Amino acid sequence: MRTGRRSSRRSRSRTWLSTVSVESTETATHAVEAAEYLVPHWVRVRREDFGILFYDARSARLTFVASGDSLEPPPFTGTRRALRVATLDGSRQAAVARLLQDLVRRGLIIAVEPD
Amino acid sequence: MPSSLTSTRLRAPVNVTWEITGACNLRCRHCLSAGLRTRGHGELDLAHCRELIDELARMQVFQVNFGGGEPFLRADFLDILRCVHERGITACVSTNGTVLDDALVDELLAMAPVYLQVSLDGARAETNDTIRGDGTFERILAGIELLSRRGYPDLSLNMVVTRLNVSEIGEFDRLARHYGAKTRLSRFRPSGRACGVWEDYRLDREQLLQLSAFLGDHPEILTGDSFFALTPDGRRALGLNMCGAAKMTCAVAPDGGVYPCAFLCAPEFLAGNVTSAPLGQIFGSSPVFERFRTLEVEICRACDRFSLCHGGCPAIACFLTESMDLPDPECLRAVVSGKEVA
Repeated sequence: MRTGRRSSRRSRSRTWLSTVSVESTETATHAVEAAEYLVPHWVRVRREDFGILFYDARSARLTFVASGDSLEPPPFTGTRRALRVATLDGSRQAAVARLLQDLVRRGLIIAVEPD
Repeated sequence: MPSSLTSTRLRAPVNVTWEITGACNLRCRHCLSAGLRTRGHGELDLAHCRELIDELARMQVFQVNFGGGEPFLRADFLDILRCVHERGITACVSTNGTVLDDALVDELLAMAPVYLQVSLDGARAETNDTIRGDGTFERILAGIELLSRRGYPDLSLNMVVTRLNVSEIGEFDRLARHYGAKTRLSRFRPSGRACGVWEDYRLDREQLLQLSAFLGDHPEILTGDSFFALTPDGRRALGLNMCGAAKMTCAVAPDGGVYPCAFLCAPEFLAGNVTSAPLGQIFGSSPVFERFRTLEVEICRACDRFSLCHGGCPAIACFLTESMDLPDPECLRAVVSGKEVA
């Protein structure tokens, strides 16, 4: 076997997200303070020099997030893996909040409201 | 933001192709790794495999793509697969499907998800068997039918697109759907035994154009970044649009040799061996890998499709032109203009 094919699912699509150009909104800022962001079991995330890199095992899709040091990935595996969000000043916090909302929309993190 | 992507240096590969064994029960005419079987110095034993998996987990590699040879011929392959699974790394296995049975499928289902890719090189027996050997179509199909009957959830059928089977792509896609599998098309590249049949199997100009159009019309078909040099604009968001060798991926041979990609396993591209140095060290500091990371196909920079392919596949350019600094001879612009390397 082992013919010209190279193994499965190498076809990962990719997205590049950035905190640079997002606008500030009060709602989004509030979201950062209100929620814990859990990484679902089908997603892996690791630190890179530009920020963090997500991998969705269901699709092999990559999402590059230029978050600098504002987001800290959880351990690679584990039962309850939460993304840590740095305490930031106003405009940066708003940018990160928008970014988090985008990641939630993409199914890469799950926002959990505190009890 | 492709320009950022090409200049980005990752701390570790996104995925690693691991040729877990050189043993195979088929003798496909276009096997890219047939040379590894004779050149290699044996296979990593289970202890070395476990060490490598620990290193992959430490590096936080997301995915391991197992190939060979036929991985399921290796007696301890399920132990290796289980070990990868336990470390939270996604496992994908490329198999010829001929050694699957109910007991093996039980084991794989218990480990789910294990992504299985079954190689089949035509929608018709006569086409496939010309490439993969007499009687293989029926044997492979029996494996696919078993997986389908058992409701295997993560299954794709892969066809290496050649002059012999390109006219059957639509039929192949329907066959895959019939079995509840995804269709994956891979590029035929001159590596391993495929070098010997390159001229007979490579697509001609009209076929390349047909394939490009087909891929544009079928975004649901997986291509594994195979065809980024040929990719129509409509698939722009579906892949990396660049060669990931030594940047996003690397390959480990059965003997532990590390190479930039599975299509570049020639001795001159050997970056190290995992029995002598940790994979992370090889990935981070090998001069061979550094050469790929700084590789620029200068002549392509002015092309309006540069952001879609960044010069294309160096493995093909290297085989046909003996230079990695030259464009992929099968890039869409060259094919359209009729200037592709003969």
